[in-house]
Amino acid sequence: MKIKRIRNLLISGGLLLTSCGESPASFSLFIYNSEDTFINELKDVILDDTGDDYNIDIQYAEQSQKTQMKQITSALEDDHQKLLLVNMVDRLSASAIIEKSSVNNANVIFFNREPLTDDMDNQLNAFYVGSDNSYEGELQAKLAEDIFGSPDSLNSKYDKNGDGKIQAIILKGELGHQDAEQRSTKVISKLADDGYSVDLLNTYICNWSRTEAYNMFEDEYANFKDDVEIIFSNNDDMACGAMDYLIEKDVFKYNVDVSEQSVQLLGVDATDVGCKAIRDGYMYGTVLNDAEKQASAIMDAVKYFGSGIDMNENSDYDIVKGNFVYIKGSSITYDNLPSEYRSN
Amino acid sequence: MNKNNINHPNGLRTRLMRVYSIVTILFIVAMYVASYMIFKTNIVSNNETVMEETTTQLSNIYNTYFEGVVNVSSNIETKLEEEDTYDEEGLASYFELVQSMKSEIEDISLYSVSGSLVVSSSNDQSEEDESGETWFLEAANNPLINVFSSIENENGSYLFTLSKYVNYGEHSYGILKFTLNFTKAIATLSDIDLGESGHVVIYDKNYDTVYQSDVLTEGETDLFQEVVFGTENISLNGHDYFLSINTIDNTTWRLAVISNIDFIANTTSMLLLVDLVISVVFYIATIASIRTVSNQVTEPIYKLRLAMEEISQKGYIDAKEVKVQGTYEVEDLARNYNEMIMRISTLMNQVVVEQNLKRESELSVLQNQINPHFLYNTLDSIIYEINKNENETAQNMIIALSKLFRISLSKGKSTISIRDEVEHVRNYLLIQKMRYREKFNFEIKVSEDIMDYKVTKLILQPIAENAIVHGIKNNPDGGRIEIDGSLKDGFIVFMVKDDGFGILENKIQQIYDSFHNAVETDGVGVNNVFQRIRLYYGDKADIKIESELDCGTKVFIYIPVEKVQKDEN
Repeated sequence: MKIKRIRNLLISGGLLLTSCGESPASFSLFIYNSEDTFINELKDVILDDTGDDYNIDIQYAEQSQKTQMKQITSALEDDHQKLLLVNMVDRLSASAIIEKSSVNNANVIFFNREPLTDDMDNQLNAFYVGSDNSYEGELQAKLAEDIFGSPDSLNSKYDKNGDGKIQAIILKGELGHQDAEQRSTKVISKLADDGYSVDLLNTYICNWSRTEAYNMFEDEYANFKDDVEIIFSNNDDMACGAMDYLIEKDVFKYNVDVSEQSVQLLGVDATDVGCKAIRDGYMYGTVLNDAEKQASAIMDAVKYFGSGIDMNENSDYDIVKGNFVYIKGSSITYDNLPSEYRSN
Repeated sequence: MNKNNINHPNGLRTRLMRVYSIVTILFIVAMYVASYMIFKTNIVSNNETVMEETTTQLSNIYNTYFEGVVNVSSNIETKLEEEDTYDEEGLASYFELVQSMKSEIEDISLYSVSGSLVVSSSNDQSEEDESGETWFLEAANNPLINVFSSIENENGSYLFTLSKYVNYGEHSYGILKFTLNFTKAIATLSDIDLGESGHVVIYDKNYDTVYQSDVLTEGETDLFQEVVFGTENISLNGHDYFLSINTIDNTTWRLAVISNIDFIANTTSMLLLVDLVISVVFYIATIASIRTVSNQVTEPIYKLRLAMEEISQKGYIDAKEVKVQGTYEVEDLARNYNEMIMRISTLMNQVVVEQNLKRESELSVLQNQINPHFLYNTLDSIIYEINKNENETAQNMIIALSKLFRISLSKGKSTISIRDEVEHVRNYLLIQKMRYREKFNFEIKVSEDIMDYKVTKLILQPIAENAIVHGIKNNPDGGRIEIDGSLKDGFIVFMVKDDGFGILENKIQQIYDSFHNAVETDGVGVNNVFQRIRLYYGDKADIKIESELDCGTKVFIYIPVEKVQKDEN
């Protein structure tokens, strides 16, 4: 174990020396799934930011870590890529990816899917950029507090059964995914900390997918339809899956203010579909998972590995634990929707 | 002359062998390289495909296994989270139910954060404080992940634990622990053929072995660290292996599949050996067949050459046929050679025979020239005339005789001009006419344009002599002899005509027969003339006899004019 660490340090150290001053003309971008809306937005921003400065090779793993491992192996061994941007399928594979990159004198920037702290510890060739999930959970909780009002006397319009508790369900992205776990945990604990009593009816795992969320509602809605007062979704896609079902069943009314909907819906990410759902009066709010800021931090890391430019200059984020960057989001409701959603 | 000529460095055989050796060797080398490369590439890529399928299959089995286990864990975790309160009885029966549905689960237990057992699906779990155990600590320190222990072999069963930090009841936290049986997943290994000493290793991210199907070879872990994940062809202890490493989903473990691919090297060297044997056989066969074929050409040629050398030493006369066997061309050449040699030999013999005949006939002509019988008859006649004081006649006879002999001898030449030939027969007839007392007349009409041709001498005199002896001498009424000569249809034609008794048909036939067989007849003179004109002028030269009884006889001599030389003067 110790020998291994030292070896990695030596390899990474040597790597930094050689890579200083020589900017990689290309890097590979590995994405866990081509259908994830937020990841696609993030990818587009990264592509915009890099412009013509880099050749970027994009590979989609379609939910298979094994496929991604093959793609990484090929990029390192056949294409001799020196910089990998990896959005993992299974976060536990980070240690292998870091090690493989070390052996091939390459650097790796993980994004969106967070490696274990233990795996990143002291790894000079690895970096992580992601959202601050706990903070996002807190923001989602605050949106709920805006809806329900004071914890002592909940708004009776939304506390439908008048029991003074918030009946909630959570649409969870993935079991074991740090974003999902932290968002889900934090939204409940923040509400509890602020004095609200929350009755979590159930947590449903829908794998970040609009379709899966819709299917889940088809199967399970009957079990909670009389009780549920608010739906916390880990992302906008799943929130939209729920919305699709509720519109179909006429639970969501068309063309009314969101305050008139009998069930309140909250998302995370502020993707295009999420913002439209807010605009159309179906979703109360979402939390901006700031793709722009994340992409800019990723590009800082790319430049750092390319030419050794210090990441802490001119940045509005902090580097924690040596190689982790968490980008804080902000909450979005109808009142502060981005301008492009306001015109009509 | 020595046999080594066949192996001369510029000889056909040597050249063929040289050229074909080079071509054959180039061909063999090209074949060798091409087949080796194609074979090697194919077998390696085929093998890689097969191996990747095998490892994919294996890692899918393990991925599915762990996914199943993790799903169960997640479901229980979700269930625990959902329940506001828990009752130990209900939870125990729920654990038992789950355990009974999943055969790989040996036990499900829930421990409190302090390490004491809360509930278990079986009764034999320790009641002691477990908070110091590795599985407990790791799960407590990594609340979001499933912690797997390494796999222990207990009484033939491969067991390991999965532990997970969970929330149960309201605000209660603890560790959920599964004891899992890996034996079945390992059993699937035996279905997969990894070759001699091929094996499977599962290890964690610190390269500590979790499970190994066989004892690890020294240096193997170093290879794992070099490859990390992916595939590689490696050598260990003199064996070739295909190494494939994958991570196992939902765990921090990695699966290394090491399959023996010695067969690639073995088949490759087998191919090379087979190639080599085929090449050598092919080469030997090529050289041997070239040798045979070239021998079929060179040996007959060599034989012909020896035969020619023999001829140059011994001459054509005794030339023998050369018997050869070889290619069609050489056999044809030998056949033509033999025909040519035989023809030359025949011609040579013919020439010799003809020369002999000519000499013989010339000798007999010479004998005729100085026929003593004719000479003393004539001299008797001259004496007789002188006694009768017929001096003028005697004088004429002597002059004629003198001319006759001068032309006969003609300085030993065998050919004379027709003018001289005609003069010769005229003098002969003059002498005879005087001897036979004007008993016959003669007339010679030879066309002037043939006078200068040169013919073998004394061809008319024997015919004229026959005409006198057989046509005139015993005829009391005397007779007349006519000699004609002219050019007709490419032949010089002489005709000697008498008006004697004529010759019987069968007698003529006898004369003709005597021309071709050496049968002695009366017509010795005619036969001699015939033989000589044949010798000198070939088969076209001929003598014809026409006779009518009591009217006379005509003898024709035909000489092809193209064979006759003309006197330059």
